[in-house]
Amino acid sequence: MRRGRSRRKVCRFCADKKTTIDYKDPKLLRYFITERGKIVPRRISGNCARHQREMALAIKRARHIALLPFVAAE
Amino acid sequence: MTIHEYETTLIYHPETPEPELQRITERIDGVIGTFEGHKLFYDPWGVRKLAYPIQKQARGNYFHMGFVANAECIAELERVLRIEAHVMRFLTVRLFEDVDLEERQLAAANRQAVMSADSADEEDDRGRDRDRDRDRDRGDRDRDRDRRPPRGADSDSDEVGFSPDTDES
Repeated sequence: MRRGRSRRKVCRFCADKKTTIDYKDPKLLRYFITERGKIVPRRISGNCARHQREMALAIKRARHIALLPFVAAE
Repeated sequence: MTIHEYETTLIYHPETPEPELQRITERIDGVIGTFEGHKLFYDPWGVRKLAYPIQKQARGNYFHMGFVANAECIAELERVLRIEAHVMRFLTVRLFEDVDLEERQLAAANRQAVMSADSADEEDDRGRDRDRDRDRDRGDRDRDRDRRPPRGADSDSDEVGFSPDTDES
């Protein structure tokens, strides 16, 4: 039993095969970056290793084409 | 030489005049043609807000395209794009390696058919008649609406205001 809020146990991309990780989809990617623009770590996002890797790559691509910020002012 | 499927996203300067856009598109066509590549789709996303300024511009004119080509073609295409003054930024991604051209053309056509069927329901598509991209959204409209809720009173050590339980399952 974990303290605080209970967290999702399985990776949401494994649970729902329909959602694909796409660097052109900033709306989805925004769930996986902090307010500051940092990539949310696996222990918090709940992603599995594979999907966290894909997510990190997608976020970095999205940053390059200015769909996501590298740093966001608070 | 093996051919691959690529997609490239360009960001034009927001004030690039229409004839220039056309000229550059034709030039891209030319490069792809020279290397015996084949375009699959061209999809102008239009002018949208950038997440951070590029060349002091807060907005950019996005252009997205998919094509099948070999590696030399990409080298030449990117060389040309670097020279074009109106192109502020570009990103090329290899989607599938060592593809069969006809099969990819078919797949692209199918995807396009599905997308146009989808977008027929939506109808809020800023004057664009082609919306074939999977589940992308125009992020600049409701960008902040469904952000995560602010960090609550939870004092758990490493919570960063991320709530993984926002949706079902």
